[in-house]
Amino acid sequence: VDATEKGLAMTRAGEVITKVVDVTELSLKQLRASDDQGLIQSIEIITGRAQCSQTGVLQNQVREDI
Amino acid sequence: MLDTHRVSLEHLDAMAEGTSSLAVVELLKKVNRSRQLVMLRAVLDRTLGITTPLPPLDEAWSLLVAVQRRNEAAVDAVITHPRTGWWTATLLRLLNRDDGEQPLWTHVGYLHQMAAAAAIRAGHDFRMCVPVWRGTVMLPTLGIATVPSGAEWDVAEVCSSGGHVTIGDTRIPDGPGWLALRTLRAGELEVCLDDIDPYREFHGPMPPRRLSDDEVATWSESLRHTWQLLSDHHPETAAELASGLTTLVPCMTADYSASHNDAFGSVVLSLPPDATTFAEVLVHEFQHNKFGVLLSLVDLLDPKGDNETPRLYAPWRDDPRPPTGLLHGVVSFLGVTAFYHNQSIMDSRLIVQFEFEYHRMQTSQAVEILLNETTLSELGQRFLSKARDQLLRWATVPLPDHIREAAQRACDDHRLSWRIRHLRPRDADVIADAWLNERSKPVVEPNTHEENEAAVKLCRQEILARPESVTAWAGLALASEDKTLQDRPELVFAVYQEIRSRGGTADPLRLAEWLS
Repeated sequence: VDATEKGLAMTRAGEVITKVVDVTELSLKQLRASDDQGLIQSIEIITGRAQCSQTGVLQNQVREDI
Repeated sequence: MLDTHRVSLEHLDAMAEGTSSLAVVELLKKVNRSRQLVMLRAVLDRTLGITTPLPPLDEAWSLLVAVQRRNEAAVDAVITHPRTGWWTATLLRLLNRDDGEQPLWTHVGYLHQMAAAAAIRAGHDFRMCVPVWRGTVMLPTLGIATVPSGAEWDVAEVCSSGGHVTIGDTRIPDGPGWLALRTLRAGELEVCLDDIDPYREFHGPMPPRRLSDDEVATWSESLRHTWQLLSDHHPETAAELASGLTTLVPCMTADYSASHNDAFGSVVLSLPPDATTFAEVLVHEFQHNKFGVLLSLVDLLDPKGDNETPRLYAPWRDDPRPPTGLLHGVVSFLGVTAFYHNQSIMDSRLIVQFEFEYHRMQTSQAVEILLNETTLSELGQRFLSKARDQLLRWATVPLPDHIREAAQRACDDHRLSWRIRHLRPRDADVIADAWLNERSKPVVEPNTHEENEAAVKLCRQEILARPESVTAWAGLALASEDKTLQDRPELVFAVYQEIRSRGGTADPLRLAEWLS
């Protein structure tokens, strides 16, 4: 973190630093075995958001059959 | 220690301003793949104790691991498939609170379907049991097979050996009983036309509704015209879609479109009537796709606030929306407004000017509601302030007065109807008492413009004939320009209904005047 702006962690390049880890460089085997604390925290954040949000389907009109 | 994702303010501002950007989509695709992997790890962690009639999840996972060593792209294709996003989010919700009628193991077994599909794509030899629904087996990204089964849910074996693949007795990809997913191509765009996946409309399971060859040709031709429009006049938008849109799901409900927060790249839609509408629908839904991924990284609404109760007015929907849904709508309509702004530069039709102005007004209303009636994070404040600035810039675009007036009337009509439908004033009975007992409030004759008198008369008559006609009340508010009716139509409506329920009578406009 190079700076904070209104409570946001920022880099000097003007990037918001999020709390979610980038796992795209991991193989599936590494993903399963990893005990990286950032990954454990990210699982909680992402699954929490997915489980809490009621805004799943986004429709242009309400359909009674869904 | 793994690095965390970063999002530049430049990219956030582009999204807040409705600007198309290939760089943003490339970033979001990477984030989406990462999100999918994190969700898969969560699924594995949380399904350890679940017994199923299928092989253990570890077996399916091991197959995926083995295939990845041999052909990473084959595994990536199924991991980033929109259905996989929907599946992980849905399964995690069900694991948290299983309130579905469908057996849980049939959801869990999608991992086995994924593994089998990836292995087939890679030409990998394997055997894997997968769930069967009403005699069908879906292999994501590939197609659906019919297998003999009389049960609602069953199990079948997928076998691949030396390049020969079978599901039960069905040989793929060329045997009877196999329906492959078909592909539509238009310029740089290549999308799957998914008319078979049982969960293609983000609910289900539902049976395939296979389009005929003629129907596919119609979709293909329509998409070709749309792509011509996009690539000629909206090249940045075309670049975004070519990079991120992967699946079109044809739907039979008229004038319908949908997407899912967790299914990046997929759009459900009925066949639009023309290229401009088709392009608008793609822009609209792909904005949702992009925003769904962004929201997996950052909170624009304060997570401690009430973001899920449907309570807010959305100018594009007849039902109350939660803050999260309204925010999604704002981002979508920022994109649509930007699309019509660009379109109006080369297309002088009045309808294009109207659509631009109408969506600009709608989005402006919604941004103000979010800024004033929700709890935003600091980043959310910044995001919506940028959106407001863009909307104010668009408000200076020269347009004929009658276009602005028509857009304003359409917005007013919807807002008034919504208020009457959804807002319930608590004091309507007390006010009705006053009316019935002739207490207080002077009654003043309504002051209407001469040109609107006929409309006022018609709306009045309609209300007397059908007192609960929301459209008649909204029409009266617009035609009469009565301030009370325009600001609080729900109050006048509710008091009027209360008076009638007690056997009383009132002239709608006199009542509105009395309440002013």
